[in-house]
Formats: sequence, C-alpha cells, structure tokens
Amino acid sequence: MIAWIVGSGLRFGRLVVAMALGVLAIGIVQLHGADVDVYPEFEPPAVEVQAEALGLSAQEVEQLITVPLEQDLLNGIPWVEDISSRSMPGLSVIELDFEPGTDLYEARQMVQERMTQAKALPNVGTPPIMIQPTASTSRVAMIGLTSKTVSTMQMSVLARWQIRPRLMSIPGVANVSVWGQRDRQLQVQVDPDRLRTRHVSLTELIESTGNALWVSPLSFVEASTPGTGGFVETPNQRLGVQHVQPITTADQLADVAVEGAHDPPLRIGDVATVAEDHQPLIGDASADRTPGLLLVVERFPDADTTQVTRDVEAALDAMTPGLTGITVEPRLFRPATYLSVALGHLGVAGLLALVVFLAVLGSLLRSWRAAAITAVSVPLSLTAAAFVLHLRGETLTTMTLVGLAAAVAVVVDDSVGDVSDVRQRLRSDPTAGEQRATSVVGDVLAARRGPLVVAAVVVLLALTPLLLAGGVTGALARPAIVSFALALASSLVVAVLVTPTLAVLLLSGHESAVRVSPFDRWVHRVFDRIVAPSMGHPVRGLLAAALLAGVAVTAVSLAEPGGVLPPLQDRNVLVRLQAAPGTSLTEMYRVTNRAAAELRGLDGVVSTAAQVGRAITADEVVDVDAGQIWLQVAPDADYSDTLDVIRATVRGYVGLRSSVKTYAQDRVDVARGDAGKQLVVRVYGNDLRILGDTARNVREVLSTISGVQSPSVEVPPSEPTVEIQVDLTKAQRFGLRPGDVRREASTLVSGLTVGSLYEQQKIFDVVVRGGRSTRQSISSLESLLIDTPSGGHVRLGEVARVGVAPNPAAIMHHAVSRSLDVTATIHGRGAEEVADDVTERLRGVSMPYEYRAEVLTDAADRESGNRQLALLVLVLALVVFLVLQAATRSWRAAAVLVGCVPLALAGCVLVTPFAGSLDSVGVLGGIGAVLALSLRQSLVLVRRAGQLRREPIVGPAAGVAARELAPSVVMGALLTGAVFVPPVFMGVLPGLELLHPLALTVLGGLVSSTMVVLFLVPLCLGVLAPDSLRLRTATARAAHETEVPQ
Amino acid sequence: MTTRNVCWLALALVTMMLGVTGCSHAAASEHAPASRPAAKVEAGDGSHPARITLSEEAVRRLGIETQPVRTANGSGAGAALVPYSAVVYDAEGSAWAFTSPSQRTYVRAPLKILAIENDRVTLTSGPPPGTELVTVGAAELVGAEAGINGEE
Repeated sequence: MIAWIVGSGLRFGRLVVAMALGVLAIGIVQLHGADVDVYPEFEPPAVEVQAEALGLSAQEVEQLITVPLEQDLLNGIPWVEDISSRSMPGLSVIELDFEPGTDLYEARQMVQERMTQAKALPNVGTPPIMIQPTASTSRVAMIGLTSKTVSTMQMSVLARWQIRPRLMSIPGVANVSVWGQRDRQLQVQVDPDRLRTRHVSLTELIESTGNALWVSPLSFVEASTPGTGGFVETPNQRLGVQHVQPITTADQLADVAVEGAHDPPLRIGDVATVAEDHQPLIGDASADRTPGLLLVVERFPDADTTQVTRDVEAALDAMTPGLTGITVEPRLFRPATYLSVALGHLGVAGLLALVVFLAVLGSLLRSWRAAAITAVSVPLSLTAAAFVLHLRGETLTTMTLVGLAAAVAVVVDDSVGDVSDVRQRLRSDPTAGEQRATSVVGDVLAARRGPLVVAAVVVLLALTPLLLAGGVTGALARPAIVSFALALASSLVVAVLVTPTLAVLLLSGHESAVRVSPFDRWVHRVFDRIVAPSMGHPVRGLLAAALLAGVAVTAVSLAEPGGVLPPLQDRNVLVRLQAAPGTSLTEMYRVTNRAAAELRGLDGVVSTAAQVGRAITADEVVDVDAGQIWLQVAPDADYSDTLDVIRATVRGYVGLRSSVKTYAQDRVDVARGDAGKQLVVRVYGNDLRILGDTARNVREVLSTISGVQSPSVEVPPSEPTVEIQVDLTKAQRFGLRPGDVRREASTLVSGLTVGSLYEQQKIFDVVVRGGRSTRQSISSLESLLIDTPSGGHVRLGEVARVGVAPNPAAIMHHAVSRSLDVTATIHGRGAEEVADDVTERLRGVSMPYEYRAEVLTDAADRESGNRQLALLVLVLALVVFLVLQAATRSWRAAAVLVGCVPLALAGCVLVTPFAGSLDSVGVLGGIGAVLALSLRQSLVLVRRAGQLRREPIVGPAAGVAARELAPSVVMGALLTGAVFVPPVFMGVLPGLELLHPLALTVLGGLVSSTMVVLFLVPLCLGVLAPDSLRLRTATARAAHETEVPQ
Repeated sequence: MTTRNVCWLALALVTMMLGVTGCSHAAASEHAPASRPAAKVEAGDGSHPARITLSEEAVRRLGIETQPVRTANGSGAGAALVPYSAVVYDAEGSAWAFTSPSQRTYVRAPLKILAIENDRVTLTSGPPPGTELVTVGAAELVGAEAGINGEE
C-alpha cells in the first residue's frame, strides 16, 4: 500500500512539491498568530459556588449558608467526584470536582439547575453565585489605580461603574475583581446614647431612613413597595408622572423627619450623624507602595493571554483621558511579557538551529541538490505538525514544544536515511533518466518504511503509560505526546509524498549529486580502522558495554528526584504572607506594605503590588490575615540571584509564614494539593470538640500499627471570637426576645442596608449603622443599648453573656460533613497493606454516634496504580518484544534489540546531572527522542543485514550492514546535534527552561546511541553466529569492493 | 588531519561544552546568601511565658515600637493606662501585652482590663508603670510565639 502511495505521489510530482512548499509557507505565517501559553490546562473540571455574607462568623456561615446549599441543593449532581466546602468569616465557598473528561459547560448546566432553588436560603447576604470558569493560570493583568487628589471611594465608584464593565466586555475576560474597593454608602451613624436621650428607638430610625428612599429591601418598611408614578390622561395627551428623588447628599438625608410623633419634630440629623462612608472591608490593596485600588483581570480557559492583554491595555488607553487625576498602572503583572520574551528566545534558538543545520548539511554533503531535499523535508514535517495543532484550535505550550523537539531526532533521521539510501541506489546508474529514477526511488522508499513504521508503533506503545497517568502529570504530558506523535506522522507523510518527488527531480541524471562524498569516505575509513577490528574481539566489546551499563545504572540509582517541571524564568513573582489567625486588616496591611516597600528597594525589583484579604468574586479564598505581594523582576537582573535575595528578605519577617514562587508554579502546586501525603484517615463528625477527641483516638490507634510513622492530627487554626449568648430569664424580665437582641446588636455593629439611592445610572446603598465607638472593643459591645418594648433601654451586657472563645478560623467540609484529617507517613511496608490493616483496626474502634473514620484511598490507590503501571510496563515490554520479533523474523535479533537499545540511553543518563533531575520533563523528552532514534536505526540495520543474507540474520552480514549505514547514522547524529547545540549554548534563558535540558540530554544520548547502533548491535548479532571470526575478513572484502568504482 | 586527531578534537570540544554548562550551574547555586536567624523563641514552662529575641534587622523590618505604661495621674498612684494597640487577646479571651524587659527581647504579660475608651485602656492589674510595652507589631510577635514562620 505504501508503494502505491509513493507511486501516486511521484505521478503528480511537481504538484505535490508545490503544495508542500505552500504548506510550509502558510504554516510559518499562521503560526505567528497562534495561541501561545506557558502550560496547557491542568486543572480537572470543577465548578465553584460562592456566597458572601459580610460580617457573619465562620460558624454561622456554615450553619446558615453552607449546610443548606450543600445538603439540599448541590449534593447529588451527576458526574460529581468530590464535593468540599470552606466556611470562613463572611464567605462560603463550595467546590465541586467533576470526573475527568466531563464537559465543563455541561457540568455548569447541572449546577445551575440546582442553584435556581437557592432563593430559599436565609436572607443574610448576597445570593450564591457560580464563579465564572477561568483558566488554570487565570490572571492575565493587574491594574493599579492611585491618585493624590481623588479619594479611594471616588475611584471605587469609577472602577465599579465605568472601568469594570468596560473591561468585562472584552472577549476572553472572565472576571474583573476590584481589590480595596470602598463602596460609597450613605451611612446613618448611630450613637445609642443620643438615641436614648431623644427617646427614639432604633427601629423608628430604621423605618425613617428606609421610608425616606424610594426602594428598600426590608419587608417591614413601607418602601419595600415603591409604587409607580402612573400617568395623567388628557383627552389629547398622556402625560407620564415621575417622582424625582430629592435626596442626593448626606445633608439632605439628615433633614428627613423621624417617624413617630415627637415634640419638637425631630430630624434624622438630630439623633444620628449622616455621612458618606464605606462598607466594612474584607480586603485592601496598594499599587507600588501607594494605597489605591487593584483591578485583577482573569481570563476564560480558551482565551489567548497575549490577545486579551493587548485588548485590556487598549481599552484602558481609551479610558485614560476620562480619568483625570488618577494614575493608571496597567503593567503590575503581565504574563504576556514572559510569553513574548520566551517566544523571542525560542525564535532566536530556532533560527540559529536552522542556520547551523544548513551549514553542517552543506559541508557534509557537498552537493546542494542532495542537501536541498533534507533542508526542505525536515522543516516541512515540523511546521506541518505545529500547523495541524493550530488548526485543531489547540494552544501551543511548553509541552507542545517538548514533544516537537523530541521528534526532531526522528524526523532528521527519516530524511537523512531516505536520501542516503536513494543516493546509494542511483549511484549504480548515475545517468538514468527520470523514468528509471522514479521506479528506483519508489522501491527504495517504500521498502524503508516497513521498519520505520514498526519503530514508530513501538515508541508510541512505550509512551502509553504516560497517557494514562492521571492528575496534573497526565494533563501536562498529553499535549507533549500528542505533538510527538503528530510530528512522527507528518514525517511519515512527507517521506512518502514529498521526498520521493524531490529526490527524482533533483537527483536523477546528476552524477555529482549521488557520488560518494568525502564525508562518506571518511566515515568508512574510521569504521574500518576502529570499529571493524574490535568486532573481531567480541569479549572486549561486550565487557566495555557492560562497564558502560554499570556506570549508567549507578548514575540512575544515585540520581535525586527533583521537580518534574523546572522553575520558569518568569519575571512575575508572587510572595504569599500568612500571619497568625485573627490578625486585623490594618495590621496585615501595615506589615504587607512594609514588606512590599523593602522588596521594592531591592536591586532588580521594578514594581510591587500588594493585596490583603479578599475581594468580591476574586480568586483568593483567604481571610484578612493573609497578604500577597506581586513583584516584577527587571529583565536584565540575574534571575536566581534576585529570587534568593527576595526569599531571604521575606524570611526575615518574624511571625509570618511566606512562600515565593512564580504564578504558574503557585497554581500547579495548588492544583496538586496534598497529593504528597502517604496515609490519610478522614474522621467525619459534627461537634468540633468530639471530632478532635475522636481524631486523637484514631491517631493512637495508628501509632500501634507497624509501618505507620509519626501520625498527627491536622487541627485547623482557631481565632478568638466574641460570643454573645442571651440569658433567657434576664431578657424575659425586660420583655426582650433573643432575636430582637440579635437584630439590634447586628444593626449597630454590622450595619443594616435600609435602601438604595439611584443617581446617574449608579446605585448606592443607604445603611444604618452604629458609630465607630459602638464596635471598638469588647466592653463597648457590652455597653450597647437595646430598645425594650416598654420604651426603655437596657445594656447588652445585662441581658446577655458577652465572652471570648476560640472558634475555627475556617470550617472545612468534605462529602457534606465536617471532617478532620489524621495524616502519617508509611515506612517499611507497602501502602496498600498498611491501608488494609488500618481499615481493619478502625472497624474495631468504637466511635460516638454519627461519627465515622475512613482511610482515604488516594495513597493506596496511587500505590496500586503504580503496581498496575509496573504491570502495564511489563506487558508492554513483552508486546514490544513480540512486535520486534515479527518485524525481524528472528527471536535472537529481537532479544538483541531489547537488550542493546536501552544502553543507548547511557549517554543521556550520564549527562543528567548537568541537565536537571532524571524525572524532569525536558530530560524525559530527550530520553524518549534518543530511544526512538536508536530503535529505528537498529531496526533498519537488522533489516539491511537480513537483506544481505536473504535469511534470518546472524554473522558478518551485520557488520557489513553497519558499515553501509554508518555514514547516514553519523550524519543524522551530527545534524540532530547541530539543531540542539544552539539551545545548549544559549543557556537557561526564559523560554528555554525545558528545551535546554532536553537538548543536553539528546546530545549526550546521540553519542551513546551512535556507538550502540554501529558497534554494539552488530557485535551482539555477530556473537550469535558460529563463524564470527570471519567478521573482519568479510567486512574488509566488502570495503574493498565499494571503494573500487572510485 | 588524521582520523585519530579529529576524534580527540571532537571529544575535547564536547567535554569543554559540558564543562562550561556544568560550571555555570554550580556557580549559580553558590550564591544563596547565608541567613542569620531572625528570631529566637525560648519556649516557656508553666509559670514563665516564652521569651522572644529578635535580631536588629527583624525589629527594623516589622517596625516594632514601644511605649511605657503610664498612670492616670501622671506619676505613682492611679490606674495604669496602656495604648489599645498594645492589647492582644488569646483564644480564651484573656488580654495580654508584650513587655520588652531588654532591647529586642519580648515577653508576654497578662492584663486585666477595666475599660477601653477610644485609644486608651485602663487596667486593674498588669505590668508596673514604666514598663515598655510593644504598641506596633504585637500581632507578629503572637505569630512568632506560635511558631508561624519560615517558608511553605
């Protein structure tokens, strides 16, 4: 069949070549505009539901919001693998993890159907919302707004009503959150003593304020039904009636009469202070050491980072003239910069590689015709593969690059081997016309494809375990393998359609193009002088091979596992700071700004942006005791040195836990979660104290099981919380009910939104709240005055107990229940055994009613997954052996291949200490490339030797075949080396973090691979022959014969 | 140039290249600056609370400030007054302040609060008048005592 395809291609010769050149040109042009990103999407499909309830404690958030949402609404949605939630002061976050492969938008549909019933929740905060789907590395830009003349509150109004809507309308933008937002509110600030003096109750004040406005959310206030103006119908005209709100400022609201009959008539301003102020803050921000607003722009999963960044900056440019007095800094965080720098370096490396490749090609072949074939087919295969990926709409990432780079060795070998074979055949009849050349070329190339297809199949089989790996590793490995396979396939297509035509057009009838080049002669000379004689002493050769294998194995066993992903040279750095639970916003803001100022003063840091706490619908789910500083390192500063100084500086802040990473690394670590813990027993229950006791019980049980080391209970941090509990007897004496006490205290401390003001297409809240002195300290809480039904007042401390107790800073739920984790490491025994033991023992432990403990199967799953993987690898090795046997038609040859080809990796392993760790992606890609290359060349060798003997190969035929293939193998190695030398010399620049170790590994592997293919494999094949002593004479005779026509 | 010489030359080039790359990696890893411990926490036993000693740099970074305990009348008798920003609450609600017995050393001391008015706290019992109390940075000292430090 392949012969037929080759023949058809040759028939439409010139057309095929024209199309090929067209594809090459279009591919190069189109790839300019391709979507590019650092990593592919690695987060599993998940939906997040958030509900804000400002001022509610963690426990109440859990009781009033999280539990109804989780238990009644979100439990039981199809395809959900895991449901977990986090209740913290003011926020409830529920995360639903879906089975891998679930379509994200279908999953969101399922969740939305349930969410429509959420209006049954208590009216304590904003209704729950489903967070927009965002990419794994979702932050695209951070914009700082600062001003010396405009207040932060006025900037917040602009940001909320002007800037955010404009940015949200940009295609690709999923969410814009505003940090440090201070919502402009009209606040009626109550002093309970003043109210008491004027004999006005809090409820009267609330009603007065609410009824002064058009609209109120409070059902007991008449303004909850504003009514419509109506119209006046004259016989001729209909005149609409509109009521114009007379209140726009605080002074005007202060002039409104207080409800109830008072003598003299009272105004709101007589009993309270009316002022413009903002809501209680859940977070704050500063841009480059100046307090202000920080807008964070996030993108959808399929959006292109560079395009969205450009659009955002263009939109801001257009808006800037209208933002007088405000300094807009749009480049506080810009991943697109890293992408463009990385692409620049990749472009330079690629260009250099191409130049060196062409130079080496020209000097080795000394004939532009022969060189032209390889010069066209190699770039064509790679560009076609990248183009196909782009047409499929896939984003080109570092993983795609690794796959394509690993395929270079194979693509080069394809082309070089084909050309070399064709030249050799045409050499015997150099003056043949096109007709004759066509049939020769057709035969040669069709015949070559057999072993190469087998080699491709074997390599792809070997890569299957990676495809089946789950989690982040699988998500990152898949694009690399897909692009590798695509490059192999396109190389096959090019070799079958384009190379034959080029060969016929350029080589037929030109004797100069097909004659033996000086390089060929040199290789044969070296082979005869060094390799051939050694083949006569098989024992020495095998000993040397064994020695090399031993060194390689020692190197592997000594290798330390490092990070799978090498750190990227991204100049955007994220510093996280975590203080003691319960730290105030003011203090966290102070310390974070001090740290940001010190970091800004370091050499090499060009800008800082600081965030504390959270913002509405933002991507950080933390309380005000956490801060983040986003730094930008100068392009010309030494990256690792600057990072070290930053780390040392941040570590010097006592009382804070810190982490310094790039944003992409931070997101990968968050996605990985706690996949590193070995044994986790989850205890489910309701009461936190009993849960703690049960967990400690479980820990004692675990410590008695052999193999389990250092079990510990992960206690969530707790913070001091003021607890107010109404004493029913005392309250009854005053005629008060607990709910009344709660509502009045809440209004004074937290504030109550009584209505809205509509102004110029903007909506502002009107809030009744206690003045600052009412919530300043615990004793001021005790002194809060509560209205009694009889018209008097009573202090809160007289009807309720006001005390401080530790409360969890955040409450976690797993599978809809409170839980505590007991973690331990496993040592000395297999994880699955230990897990079974633990499950057995736990069955015998008595637990309180409604409590249970479960061994999380993750670790045991992983080990059985590892065992399954090992089994799969073994099965694959067997399948590979059988496939090789079928291809070579000899059991001994297959055995030799399976034994010798892995030795080609010795060079890779020896180079690894310079390239990074053995399990890093770049090194693994290089190993894959070298493996594929050496397997292909060995198979071709075996096939050629078989042809020479016309029977299953043994004996000197292998040596002769090796000598024949030596020039193309060495040329392939030199050309591949030429492509990879520029990335190695350029060093670890941004963009080359993965390519550099890959290139280094391939270079090391090329040396050992050439030696294995040209020396070890023929030697082993010859050893299986009884007449191996005749090796040298047979080779010498063959050498003499081929040299004669010169 | 004979074949042998070419082989040696190629080998030399490859080794040199590997060496250069290796050296640059080694040089980079020597640059990590030596770090002095920023804080030393001597754990307390039942009767004595922990002592925290900070380095000069750490004090400067956190911007720790102290003020002495005053009395209402200015000197001698009268209720003790401390700034509100010196007060930290523990999990059970007891009030504490960090005293500074010597420079850069801090020890927690219990307070019994009578009243809090604006920024002024009146005590019924606490450290004697004149004791230096930490008024800026007390929250970080709480974290230091709880062992919250280092890199994640």
